[in-house]
Amino acid sequence: MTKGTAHGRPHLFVMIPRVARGFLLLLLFSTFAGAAAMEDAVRDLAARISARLAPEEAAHVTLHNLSSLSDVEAARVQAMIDRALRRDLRNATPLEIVLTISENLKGFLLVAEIRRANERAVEMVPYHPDPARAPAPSVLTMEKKLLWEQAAPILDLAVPADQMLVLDTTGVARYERRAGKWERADFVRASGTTARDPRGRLETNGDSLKVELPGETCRGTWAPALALQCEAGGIFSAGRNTIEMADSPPFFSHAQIGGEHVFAEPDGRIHVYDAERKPAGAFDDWGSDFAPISSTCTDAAGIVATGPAGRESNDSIALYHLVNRTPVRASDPVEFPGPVTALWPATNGALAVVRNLSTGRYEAYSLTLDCGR
Amino acid sequence: MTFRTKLLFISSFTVAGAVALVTGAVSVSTRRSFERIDRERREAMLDQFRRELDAQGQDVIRRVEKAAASPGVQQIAAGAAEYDRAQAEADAASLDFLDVLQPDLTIISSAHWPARFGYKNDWQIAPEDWNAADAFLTRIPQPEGSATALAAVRPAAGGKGYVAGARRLSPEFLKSLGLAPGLRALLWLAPHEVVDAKGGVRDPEKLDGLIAEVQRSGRQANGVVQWTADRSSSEAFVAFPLSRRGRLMGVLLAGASLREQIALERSILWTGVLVGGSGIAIGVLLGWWTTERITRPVERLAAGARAVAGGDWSTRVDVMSQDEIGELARAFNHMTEQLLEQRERAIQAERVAAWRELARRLAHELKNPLFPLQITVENLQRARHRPEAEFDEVFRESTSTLLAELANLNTIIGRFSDFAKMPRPQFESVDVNEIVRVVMKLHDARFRAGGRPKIEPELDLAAGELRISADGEQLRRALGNLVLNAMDAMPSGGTLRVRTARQDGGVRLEVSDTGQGLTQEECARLFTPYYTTKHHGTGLGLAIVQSVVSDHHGKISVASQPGLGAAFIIDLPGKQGDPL
Amino acid sequence: MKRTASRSIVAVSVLLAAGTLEAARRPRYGGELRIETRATPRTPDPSEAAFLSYVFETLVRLDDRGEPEPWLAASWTHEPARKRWIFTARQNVKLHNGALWAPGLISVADDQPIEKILRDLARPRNAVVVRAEDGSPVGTGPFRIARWEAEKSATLTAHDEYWGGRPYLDRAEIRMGRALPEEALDFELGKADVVEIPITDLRRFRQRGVPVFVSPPSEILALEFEGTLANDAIREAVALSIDRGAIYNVLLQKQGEISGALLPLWIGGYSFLFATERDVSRARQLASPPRTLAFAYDRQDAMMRAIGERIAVNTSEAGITMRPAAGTTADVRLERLPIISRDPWLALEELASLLKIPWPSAAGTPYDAERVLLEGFRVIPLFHLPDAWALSRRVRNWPHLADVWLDARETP
Repeated sequence: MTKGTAHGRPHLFVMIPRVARGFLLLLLFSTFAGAAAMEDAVRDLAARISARLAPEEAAHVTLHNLSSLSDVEAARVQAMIDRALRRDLRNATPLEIVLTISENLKGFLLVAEIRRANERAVEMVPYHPDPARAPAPSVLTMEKKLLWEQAAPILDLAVPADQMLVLDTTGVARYERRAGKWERADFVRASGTTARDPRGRLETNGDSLKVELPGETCRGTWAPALALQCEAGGIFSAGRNTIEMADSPPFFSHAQIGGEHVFAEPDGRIHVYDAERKPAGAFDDWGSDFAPISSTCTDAAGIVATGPAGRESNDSIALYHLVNRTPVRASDPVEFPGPVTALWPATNGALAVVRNLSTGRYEAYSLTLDCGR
Repeated sequence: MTFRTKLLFISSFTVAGAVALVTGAVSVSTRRSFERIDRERREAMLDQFRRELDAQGQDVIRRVEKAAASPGVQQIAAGAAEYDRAQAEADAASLDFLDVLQPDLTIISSAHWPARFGYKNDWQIAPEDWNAADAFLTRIPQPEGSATALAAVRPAAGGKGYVAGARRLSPEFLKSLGLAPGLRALLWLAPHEVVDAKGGVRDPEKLDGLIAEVQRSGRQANGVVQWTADRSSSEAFVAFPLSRRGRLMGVLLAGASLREQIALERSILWTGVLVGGSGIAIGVLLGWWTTERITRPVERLAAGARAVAGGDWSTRVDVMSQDEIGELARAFNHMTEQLLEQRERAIQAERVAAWRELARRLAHELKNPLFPLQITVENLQRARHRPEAEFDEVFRESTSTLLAELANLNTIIGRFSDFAKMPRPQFESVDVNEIVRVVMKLHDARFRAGGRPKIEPELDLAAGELRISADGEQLRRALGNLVLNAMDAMPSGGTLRVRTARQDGGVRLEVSDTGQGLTQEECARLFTPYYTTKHHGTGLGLAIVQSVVSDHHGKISVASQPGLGAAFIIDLPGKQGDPL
Repeated sequence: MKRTASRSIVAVSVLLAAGTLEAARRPRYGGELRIETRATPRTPDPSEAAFLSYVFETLVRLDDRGEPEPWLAASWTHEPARKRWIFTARQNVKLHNGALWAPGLISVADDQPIEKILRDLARPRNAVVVRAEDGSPVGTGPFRIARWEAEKSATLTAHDEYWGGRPYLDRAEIRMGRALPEEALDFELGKADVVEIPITDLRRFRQRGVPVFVSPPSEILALEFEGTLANDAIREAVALSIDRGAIYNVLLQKQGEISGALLPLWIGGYSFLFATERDVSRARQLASPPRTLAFAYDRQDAMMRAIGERIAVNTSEAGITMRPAAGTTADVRLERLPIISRDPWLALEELASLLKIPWPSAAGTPYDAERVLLEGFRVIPLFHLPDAWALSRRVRNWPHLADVWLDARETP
């Protein structure tokens, strides 16, 4: 499948007129020119903060944005400062640092308050943006690419090498590319998932294959042929659509950002827990499906998540960063022709399965972040 | 205390006691009557106060209900109005205080203290009163102090929150109570304000005790307050607590002036004093008249007795009546007549005895020198028949003896003559101490004369000069006689002490010795002329001393006991004419 | 302390000003603008009233970012050998009397950093004022003083030969020393085009659809302690007992900003570093035993009176009774302190002078200087308040007087 020729639907990028595209390039370029100055300021501030840290102390930075800087950029600042202050220490003593992005006539001001028990130190670094800099909207574009569509509900899909493994409610199928088309080469029937809202997961590691289904885990190989041995258990609750793991309640989706854990729980909310698994917040901005996404074009850890739309409406997926345990959208949403039924992390992106409300068929898309545009 | 005085006291006490008893009884009765009347009036005032308070409470309720129903207050309660809007609404409803509150009693808008928005309502309202239908007294804090007010609470529009409104309890409220003359109402408002119908009260601290008692007991209390130093400024108060759910909001003080009562009591008192005084005066007159009939004769008798004691034995007392007093006077007169006759007889006997004593002494004194005279003459007669030479010698001796004895006779006769014609004293100011020193110096040689035991003179003189009006020469003579007597009384030596002292405006002169002393009989006869305990001597020395002392209107006495020496004590007046 | 003398009409430049510019229609020349203000400048001294900066100009001016930019001085160079800076006068600058402004050589000793020299040259008191033969002051600005009645009124007329281009207005009539209620009445009666309004009335004006202009925070509402109250603990107790949030939300109707700093966020950028939280229990400890302070504030000003009374209620919780001061002496005053410049240093220096606090010459940053000035709680900033004006519908481009024009389509 090539870009721009997705199955019946034009690619997002192709739809943008040329002029606007150039503008978008300029916008993104100037954004990154400004970003360099911001990095310098952050680096300078981090150096000053580090100079005040004791050898056994590790900085824990909390960000407040009082400026006109966008949330996305603010999140970038936090990510930069976190990275700059990261120390690999065992039993480090956390030191609370409040980073405020302020603004005055002359520009931005990065203000760090270093708080100890009986003292407070302040470091300030001004940041004067390039006057030509325009306020940046979302800096990242997310691309979707249709990988497969079928009638049976797709639970997961993987494309190892030049083959495709599709896990659906009937079993695992292996497809090979023949004459530019995917053709089924192999099939292993699953023991049958009787849960409503079925869920499943494929994991490949070389030739080995692990399949997670509600109440069942199957291990085996997919090459040269599919061979699986199944046994009771696994991460999916039997007869349910939730995932169960040690030290956590049942959930729909999970992502770990830094030391924090984000769970989509059966109560319909997204809960955030800190490194000690203590509740640290909750929000309602997402649907039940989200997945961590890694990409070379973002420093901050991102999560792709569905919106809180109902299952009978079209869904969208956008990239988010967590800033102070609050989701901050970092990309424009990608629209889909129906509700998202599965969303899993994948190599260099994520996999989204959508039930097309028009056709009734299930479509699997790969999601990647396009940082070159 | 004289009989008259005693009688006067008795009659006075009797009258005064009776009057006081009557006055007291009348006063008590009057006071009780006043108190009863005042109590009835105060009860009536309290009833009226309660009625008035109820009426005002109903008025406050109406105003608060009107405010609660007004669109402006509803807007405030809904949070759709400025924070200080309550002021305008309170003015419209003619309320002094208006707070619009959230259900948790947080102030949304306050009319009297706009700055308290967001704070909890701080009126002293018990939890039950937030839903009470009636009006009640409460304290409302203000920027300056706090005020007592009549308040009511109604739910805010929609039933969420409250509207609390109140009208200040002011002095004007007290004017509305129609009070009888002499009666007034005060209102004590917690914590320290006292007002009457005209406003603030002067010296409200004088009510502190009464208020404190009401606060302590929570019940009605009575007390009298004196506003000034004048007792008629006193006012009798009854204090009624005004409480709400156990909290004291104020005290109504019903005061009745005690001016009339005190005036009446004073009038009664003065009447009693007047009556008592009159009674006492009458008693005095009666007493005087009575005692005049009794005590004067007794006094005359007493005066007569004193005169008799003073030596006037011819005193007679008039007999003014035929009663016991007259009988007493007659007996007194008889007594003095008898005393006079006895004294005459005693004086004559004394004179006879004194003449006999003088004749005896004279015979004794003259006999001594006459005997040798007789012998000498007889010798001369015998010697006539002796040879011339022998006769010459005898003649010389005899004439010598005759001359000596004649000289002795002359001396004796001279002493008697001296005693008989002792001159009258020439009074002048003399220093007794100086006289003592002169006399002692004169005899100093004798004190130290050889051939006899030593006599040690001692002087104990008063400080300074002891001046008296006296004849110095006679005093020296008298003192000299005493010194010679004292020396004669100490044949074995001893101490001769002379002491002077100021005594009763005069002088005491004391001459004492440490000789053999005198017996009592000797002491008694000592000053009799020619009485002497000495083996020689005319015995006139002490008589001369006594005569001198008598001429100086003084006294002389002797104190002695056998073996212990004797002390002659002379007391002389300071001035002649001064009694001693 | 004549704090209101430099009441800003236009001094504080505005990030919002650009918002009033309508790009759709071109501005119209002509017309008379009627302005009313509470300020009472005695003399046409540029430091006495901000509108005089349009009459007397400085060599250097601070731009919208507070950076010095050439104004009457077109450029400047350093002559290290002669230890001086040479400022080149702008060419073709005409004075109000028509004469050419040719000051010759302008030099300033280089004994201070150039940044400070430029800031000083930007101060209104260093404006270029030329004395005419009759002694009257002559300037170079877009407006000249046609009539001056001290503390009462002034008439400014357009300087046709202004080097930056003739202003749109022909004339500006300024009535001075007006109380706010009088200004509001004149506005209602149509006798004024621009009047000052209390920020607490902003909502009311907006509800009526009256155009209003609100500047960024340009004055400080603060408590100032007199020297007689030498107890740091008491002052800190007062600071900790004040509930700024309630005053801001209710009395100020969320106009301005809560602040514990002297400079507002838009000038300093660090005002949030100064504490504004309330801690009544700590205040009570510091204020023990309870005491009374004489408290003075402008009772004629409804907003100040309301805030003053509210502060008294707050401090009473800590055991500090704030009683209205009798006479002119007081322990503490509620004051409005002007922020006279966008430059933080200039603004802080002026505040230090106004508050009679020694300037911390060793401070390296405005934040450091402010920390020293606020030590000991000698002054307690409470809020930063904007200026607000009600504008008649025909006024455009307020508050830049040189750019103001009157829209003929709107009736006055």
